[in-house]
Amino acid sequence: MNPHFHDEFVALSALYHSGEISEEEWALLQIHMAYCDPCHERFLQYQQIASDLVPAMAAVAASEAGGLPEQSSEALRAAEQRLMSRLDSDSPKAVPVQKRKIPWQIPVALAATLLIAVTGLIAFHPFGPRQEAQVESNHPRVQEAHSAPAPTGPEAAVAPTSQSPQGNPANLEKQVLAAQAQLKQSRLEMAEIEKKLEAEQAARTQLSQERDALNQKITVAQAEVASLNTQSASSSANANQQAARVVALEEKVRALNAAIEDKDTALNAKDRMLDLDRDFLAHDRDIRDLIGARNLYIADIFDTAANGKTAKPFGRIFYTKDRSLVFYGFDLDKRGDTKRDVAFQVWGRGSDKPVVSLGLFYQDDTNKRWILRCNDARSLARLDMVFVTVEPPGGSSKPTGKQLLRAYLQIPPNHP
Amino acid sequence: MEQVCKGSRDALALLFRKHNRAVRNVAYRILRDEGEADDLVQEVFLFLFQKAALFDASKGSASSWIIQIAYHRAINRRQYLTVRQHYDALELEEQRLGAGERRLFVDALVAKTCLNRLREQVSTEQREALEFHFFDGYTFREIAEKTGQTLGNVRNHYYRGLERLRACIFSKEGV
Repeated sequence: MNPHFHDEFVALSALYHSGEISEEEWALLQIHMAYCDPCHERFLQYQQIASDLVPAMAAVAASEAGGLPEQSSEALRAAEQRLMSRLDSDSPKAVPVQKRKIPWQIPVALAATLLIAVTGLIAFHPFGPRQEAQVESNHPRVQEAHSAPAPTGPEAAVAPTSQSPQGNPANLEKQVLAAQAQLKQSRLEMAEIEKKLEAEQAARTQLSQERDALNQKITVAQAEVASLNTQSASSSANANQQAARVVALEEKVRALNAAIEDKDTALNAKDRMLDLDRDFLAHDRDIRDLIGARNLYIADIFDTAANGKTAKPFGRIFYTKDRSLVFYGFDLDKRGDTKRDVAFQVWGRGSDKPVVSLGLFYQDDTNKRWILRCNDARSLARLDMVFVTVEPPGGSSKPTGKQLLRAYLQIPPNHP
Repeated sequence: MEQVCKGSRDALALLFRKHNRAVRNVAYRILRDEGEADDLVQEVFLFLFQKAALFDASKGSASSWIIQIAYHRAINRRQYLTVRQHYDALELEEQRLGAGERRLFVDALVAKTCLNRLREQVSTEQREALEFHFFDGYTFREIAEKTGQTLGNVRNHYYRGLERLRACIFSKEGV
């Protein structure tokens, strides 16, 4: 027996006399008490307290509390008269129950019947004398237990039979047989109830195990949830840190981009300056080459006015024999008879060679000076004279326009 | 009681005058109605006159027996008035008060000693549960409403208190 269940039955046996237990609990308690002597003994003790002691205690408590005021003698007399008059009115019922003298034949017949019944019980009972003795010993206890409301069970059926003998032995024997059948039926029912009880206990045990297993699962799940919460909190913190870091990096990238743009701007400026320097350097080299060259011929080309005076020079050549020619023209487009959209083309002529084009003048940065460079040594070696003509934009394959400037190259150098 | 058993009305009148007040107090405390208490007094003494043969002098005094009858009748009457359920009170009394080997009629002195011991040895909640139920006839539900506790708590206090009382009474040093 599970000690927990035993404790429950102890509680039920205490609660039974309060009338606050259910029919089902009372049935289970009866079954339990049938084989648990300590519980049965305790049940009787509770019963004795409730039946015998409590009324006396209640009377003491009621007298202590004061209760009703004492009745006047008239009232008491009136109550007594009322009682006596009720005795008169209930006279058929009011006859005091006296211990009746039982004729000697009835106890003898009863004893004989009981002897037959006991013999029959021993003969037919499947469990033998030991169980029968137990039934005999259990009988009075359950009968006592049933002194409370609504007696149930097999003993309740047996009890009236033994208390009120009637008729002849044959009738009594019939009653005994009927009681035996009822007893057997009741035992079967009791066995069935015990089986149900065992099944219920097994089910309860299983439920308890399932509950424990579920509790374990819940504990594990709670631990997992706690772990996930921790991870989630950690991830959130990391995410916040990453977001802050991203913001900081974006700021840094913006600053770097601005710095790069500044540097690009500065670099572009430097590139421009470098290009200018290179340009200047190239010019310087040309100038240095020209200045440093031997056999250099430098000549200004003048136009002569109608009055025989020399005009302002509008051309100058730097010629290194058979090596290079730099031809400068001044204010070519400002001559009165020159159109705006024209090109100034430079030609070369040898003594035995046809006219060849040396290229078109281009303007330098000042827009006032026109320049042509020619480093073709072979062509220069065969030329005797160069001249400039006005040609359509893009130039022509042979001279078509008016000659503007002319210079002879087969002359001795003036800077040897 | 012997005279009452023989049908003496004078003896019954004597018992009535002697025990009327105690019976009426017990009945009134449980029923809480003067008219009901008066009716119950009549019922108790009618029952005594009819069932006097059930009294066994070896089990205790007549006054204790009368108080027992009055108490159980009052409790039954209260239950009847509470739930309006039909039952045969007379038969019940005969079963409860019939000859049992263990039956005892506890006298007032022993009852007072037990009452004092009860009040000393149980907690306030347990004492309330026991006294409201035993002395005033309240059900557990009524006690729960009255004391503001749960039904389960009242049931538990009742059981624990009663177990304490039982252990005290039925121990070797008991009353």
